Amino acid sequence: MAVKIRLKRMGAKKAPFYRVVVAESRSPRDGRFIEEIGTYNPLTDPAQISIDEEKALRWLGTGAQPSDTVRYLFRQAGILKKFHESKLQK
Amino acid sequence: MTRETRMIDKVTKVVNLYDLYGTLLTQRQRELVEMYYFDDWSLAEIAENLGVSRQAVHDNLRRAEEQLDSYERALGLLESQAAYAANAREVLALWQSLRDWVPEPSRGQFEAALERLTNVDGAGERGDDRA
Repeated sequence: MAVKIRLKRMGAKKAPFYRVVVAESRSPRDGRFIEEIGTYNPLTDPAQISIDEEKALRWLGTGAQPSDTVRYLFRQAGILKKFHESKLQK
Repeated sequence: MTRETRMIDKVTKVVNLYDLYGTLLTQRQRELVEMYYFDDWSLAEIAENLGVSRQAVHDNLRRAEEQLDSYERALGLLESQAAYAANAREVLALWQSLRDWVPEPSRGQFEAALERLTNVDGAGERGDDRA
């Protein structure tokens, strides 16, 4: 079964805050996920992105699929670049 | 790249509108918006989960977004909220340079009032405590 990397909204009403989580593509909406690998806070200016690079690269390496929004965060954090470089080295 | 940038800005915008006007949508529309914008599911995943076509999910989501936009055009809550927050920040900054000139108990009273003013959002209406 495919593993996905998604955003998951947390936080109070009118105070959005996201976790970046790794989850099975078919996992139900009850909030279960395999691992949390970062956060995204759109309230600050600029928005604050915090990703555990080691975990992110490990999950990408196992073929986990990031959503469009997560791919954007990874790109901002320089993780996609590192991932592509590490693939080229092999 | 630009598609992703637009995407994340759109997420922020739609979610902000949803927090203000979400209760005006139907139950079904709320479900779709939360799956797509809160849980970051793809259209195909939502369609499969609900047993409808991807096209139906796409159309219904777009209609919900258009509805949220039309509420904002009519009521402008998001815009006035942003203006309010900017004004509150300005008052707070001004107060910082004034506070040493103001004697107690007025200083304390003013600070308490200012605190209530700047915390007007959020407190007391935690709408989403799903862990």
